[in-house]
Amino acid sequence: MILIRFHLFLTIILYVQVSGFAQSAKEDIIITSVPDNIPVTDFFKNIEKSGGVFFFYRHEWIDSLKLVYKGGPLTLIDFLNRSLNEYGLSVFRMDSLHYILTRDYKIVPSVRIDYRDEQREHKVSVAGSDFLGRESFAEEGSTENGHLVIVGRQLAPGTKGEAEITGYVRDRKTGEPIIGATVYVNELGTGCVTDPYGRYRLVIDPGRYMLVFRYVGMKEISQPVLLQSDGRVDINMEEKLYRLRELVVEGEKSDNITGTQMSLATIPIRTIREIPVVLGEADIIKVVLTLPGVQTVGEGANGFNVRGGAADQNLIILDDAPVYNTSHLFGFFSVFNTDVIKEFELYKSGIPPAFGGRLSSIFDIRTKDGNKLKFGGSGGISPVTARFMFEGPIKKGESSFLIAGRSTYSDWILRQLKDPDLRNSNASFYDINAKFNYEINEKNNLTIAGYHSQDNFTLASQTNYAYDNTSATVRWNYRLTEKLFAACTGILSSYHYQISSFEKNINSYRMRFGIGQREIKASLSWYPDSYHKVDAGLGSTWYTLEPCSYYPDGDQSKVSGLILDRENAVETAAYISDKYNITPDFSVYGGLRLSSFLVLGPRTVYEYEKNRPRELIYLNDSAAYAPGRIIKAYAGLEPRLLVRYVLGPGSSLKASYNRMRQYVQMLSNTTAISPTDTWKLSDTHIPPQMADQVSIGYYRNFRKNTIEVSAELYYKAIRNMTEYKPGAELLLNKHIETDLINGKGEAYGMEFMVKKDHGRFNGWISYTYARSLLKVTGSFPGEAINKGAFYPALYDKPHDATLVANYKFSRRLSFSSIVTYSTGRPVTYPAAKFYYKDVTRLYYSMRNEYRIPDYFRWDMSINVEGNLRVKKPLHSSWSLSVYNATGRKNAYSVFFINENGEVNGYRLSVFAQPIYTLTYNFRF
Amino acid sequence: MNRLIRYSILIILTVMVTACVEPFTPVMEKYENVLVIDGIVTDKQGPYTVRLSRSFHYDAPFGSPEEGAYILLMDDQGNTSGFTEKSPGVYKSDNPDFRGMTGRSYKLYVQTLDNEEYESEYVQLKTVPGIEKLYAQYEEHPVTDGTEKGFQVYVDSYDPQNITKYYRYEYEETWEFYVPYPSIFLYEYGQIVPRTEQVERCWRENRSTSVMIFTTEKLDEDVVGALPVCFVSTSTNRLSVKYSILVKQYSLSEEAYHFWEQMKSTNENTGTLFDPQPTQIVGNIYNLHDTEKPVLGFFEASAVSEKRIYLSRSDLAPGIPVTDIYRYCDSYYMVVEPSRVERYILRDYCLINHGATATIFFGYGMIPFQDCCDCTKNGTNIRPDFWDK
Repeated sequence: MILIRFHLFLTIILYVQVSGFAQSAKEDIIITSVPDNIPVTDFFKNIEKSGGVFFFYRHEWIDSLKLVYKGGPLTLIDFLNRSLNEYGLSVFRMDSLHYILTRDYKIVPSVRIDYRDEQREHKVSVAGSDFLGRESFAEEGSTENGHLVIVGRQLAPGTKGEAEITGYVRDRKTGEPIIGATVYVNELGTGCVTDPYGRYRLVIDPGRYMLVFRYVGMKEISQPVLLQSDGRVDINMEEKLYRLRELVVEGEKSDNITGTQMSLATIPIRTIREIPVVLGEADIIKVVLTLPGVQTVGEGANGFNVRGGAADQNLIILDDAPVYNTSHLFGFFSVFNTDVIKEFELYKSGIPPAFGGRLSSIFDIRTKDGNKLKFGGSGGISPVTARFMFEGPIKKGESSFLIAGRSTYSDWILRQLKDPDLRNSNASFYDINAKFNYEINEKNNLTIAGYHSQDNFTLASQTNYAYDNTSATVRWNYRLTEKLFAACTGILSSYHYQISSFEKNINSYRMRFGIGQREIKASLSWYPDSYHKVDAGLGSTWYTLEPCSYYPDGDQSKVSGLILDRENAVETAAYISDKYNITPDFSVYGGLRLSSFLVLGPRTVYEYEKNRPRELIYLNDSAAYAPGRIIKAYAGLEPRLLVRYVLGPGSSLKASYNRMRQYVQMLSNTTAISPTDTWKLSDTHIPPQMADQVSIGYYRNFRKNTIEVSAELYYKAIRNMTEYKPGAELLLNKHIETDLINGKGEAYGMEFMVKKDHGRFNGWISYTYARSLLKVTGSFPGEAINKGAFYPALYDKPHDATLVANYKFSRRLSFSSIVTYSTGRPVTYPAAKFYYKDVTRLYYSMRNEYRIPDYFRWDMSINVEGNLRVKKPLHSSWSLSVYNATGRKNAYSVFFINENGEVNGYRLSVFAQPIYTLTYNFRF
Repeated sequence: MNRLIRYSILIILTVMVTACVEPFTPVMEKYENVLVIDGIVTDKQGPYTVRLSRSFHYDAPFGSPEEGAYILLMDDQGNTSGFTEKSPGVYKSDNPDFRGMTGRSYKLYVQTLDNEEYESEYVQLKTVPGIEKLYAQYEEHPVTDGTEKGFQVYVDSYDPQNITKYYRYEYEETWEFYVPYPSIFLYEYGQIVPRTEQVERCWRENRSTSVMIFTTEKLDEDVVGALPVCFVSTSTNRLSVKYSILVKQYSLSEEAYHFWEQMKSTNENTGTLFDPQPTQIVGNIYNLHDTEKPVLGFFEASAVSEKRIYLSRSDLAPGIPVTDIYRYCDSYYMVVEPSRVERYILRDYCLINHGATATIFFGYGMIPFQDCCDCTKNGTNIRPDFWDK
């Protein structure tokens, strides 16, 4: 009975509202005090009698409730709402006489419900936006719906002006803020991106909207909001654990079209775990190799080549700290523990002005922050390595830690090998990651990260190699104002290696090399309005480089030792950039970076006769510089420009130009990065390297953004590349500048990729045509290499095609495969044979005139997940993979050996057979 | 469940990492024709030899000698010596008074038939200390399928004046060996005649082919300590009776040392993941009209010291066997009737000695492999003059 009365009443109310029935006014009743524990029903009766008002409610809602109030005077409506809200009840004041109680939902009077007829000319002011208006494909009723959230307070009718809706987007499991998530307002066709704190901010007209939150690897969330005035809505996103058939078409999954970045590769960490691995270790570098434009000189080669650039032209940073040697065991295992990596980005062109120091690419790797909500961990065991990660909160919701380690027990494999030298060797490595994160308050965030990796390898019980990477980063993020963000970072990073003879006798030696840097930098991000994002920054890095030096080892050693002067320098850089959205379709990202490099004493600098080749015989003089004295200064501008034009729905055109300068170079005349490769800072004789790159790309999405196609063309011109004179002595050479010579480089190519991210069957196919040529003319006769003509660089592989395919049979079983083909890399064959002292020998003259046989490889893996019960202590999975399934003996190198007076040619293959691996992974 | 675990472990253990090295013949279309000058002047009595040849294509079996050249050897005191071509491409100095002296510098001049002129830089002949000690030590070295046993020969040398610093080594091995079925008969013109010389006991020689260089520049003292030069393995017949090795120690200039380093690295130190790229070898001889034109070779001036040691079978511990490389011969020995000897001779069998079996009373022992019966096939039956009885 009461129910019917209530419903009827409600209908009448709404009817009355719609027809704009004017209400009579009467003074509001003020409540000043209330008898303690008065039942609500009695309270109502009193007010009804004394105030002449009417309350409408259902008895069962309030029968048991009592009121207690100790505050100051309030209007009746406010008093009732304050007292009753906690019971899920709301009170609506229809007019001065009539009050309606509702449970679980609120009656809201004046609301503009439907905007679809509105013109799309809202001036939308957003923070951190590079998202532009487009037709919306989103269907109503997407998978994750929140209940309607009312933001802000109801304003007086007729109030004009925009309202701000803001909030944090976090990972539901770990509490970590999600940076770069897109927030799209369906009705307006606009949106924004979460800032470095995970915060989004939209300033729009009040109204009812569907906000769609998206992030790579996370379940999309559609949150209906009713925006009345300024308010906050926080969103927790959940990881998409299994890639099932998508029921909902993702409308705006199109960062590749609208994003202003070009030549940027980002792959979700989950994909990395699915790709088949060798010896059981997921390796982000191996994944990056499947992308267009990224190549390697061969299996087990440390380092990679991006767009025809040398391996030392890639800056690999882990939480802002550079890592010099990116693999364990000479290139077979990555130094990066996949369990701790949150995300990574590889910039091939259009490099933001904030980055510099290397010519070809920036590989920016970020580790996870650690779960702020609960403890967790993961790990895995494979035939050769074991790894473990543990994370958790220190103070729940505020601070967290993460610690992970990895190690190998590969000695038993070495015992199985045929080669006697390797049988008597042992190899071990380990690495440790640690992270600490503290959200001090809304404005301040502190992160401390540390990393250490160590390798030890004893070859044939004769020589011992050891190397290590160590780094520590402290970063403080500070939000100055709503539109201004600052970050300040201190970084320590070092790399050492040591080679020593195992036996101690009179020839025992120890060779040691080290490079260390201390860096401090500060940056500012400013979002003045929806059109601009301005970034500026300043930083300095102090380098200390200990060139490879030779020391006696042990008591018996008669080695006299050779210690080269240390190299010291300071690199300073300042940059400013603006991402300007001129129109929704056309945006320009321009920036300028100014970098300088000061070579400092103490150091002895050798001078050579002018107008003569730089040879020892022309050594003229040497000058000794005091500590801190500036020996040589280099500086230069590095302009960066990126232009993006959206051609239509699902397609865009991007073009970029950047200039990069590099002050640190690796000296290596071997094919792959070898243990004895050292680094050298620019100095009086070695100027910094410079590269100019232009690239243009066309991007097109098909089938509602489920298929992404991209094609990019680039051209790179490099100056002051270091090349080596014939017979160059790169180690322990006091006058190393006499063995180095400058050259020019040229790289150009085309990259083409088709990617399908959704559905049971997904993956990508990439094809690269890339040439990389060098030219050394020298300034004096005898210095030209290959007679001064362009010759192919060691990493010049014209054709490279890769197919990555994943198929999900069921939620637990998935299959993954990689097929890759590339042209053989260049090799130097002998120009002739000759007879000398009764032995046939080889004569080489022109470099890299031939190629080794082409490379082809097919890997497969099967991944079985443990059962899908949601609540269980440990989630585990097994993975069986085969590397080089066809068993093709891919040539790593072709070489010639003098054997018993005869010369014989050989071909070396690293993985000459299919290699099967079974790995066990767990997570809790 | 247990079985599953066991099989899982088995699967895990099927990881095999095998790098492999296979013979490979590259296809090369062209080759460069470069003059090769191989000459050295030492402090030993002449004549000194200079060999001139041309480089050849990778697939060609050998190159061609450079004949008819005019060569002149000069020292820094004005003394010279001409050369006479004794055999194609091999020139010997013809001035008997010209002898290499330590402390002096030498230079070579060559003019080839096509009127190209070549000249080397001056090279100083540095002294070399005597080999202080040449000795052998029993060792076992691991190889692909087991271990190799034998003697490792070491050199000790010391230059108190710290002048030499750069050394090159060569060795000459000579060893005595016997064949199991020495032949005393020959089949000549249809007749069985006795041999005039014995073919049971021979000596075989071998010279070093790999580049052996050493430097003491990184040491406080010019000491060559326990430098391994040769490994005498029991898997050959070197130690079957008696063995001798002569080690020669040459002094090198720093430039000569770098030349040999490059020769070594482009020809020998290859086949690993970290090979340096092979580069052009730079010598010290230049074409006078066009210094850019490559010339192969390094004109050396060295002092030489040498030492010899002997090793015999009894130096090996009793339990260590020396491989009997003629073991297979036993199963091929056969006794043949005199009337059928010719037939086997035509099939290249070797005639050994009288032989008899249960059925053949007056036969001859024969064997298909000459190696088993005639030691001169693998050596010489003339005793080297330095060999003691």
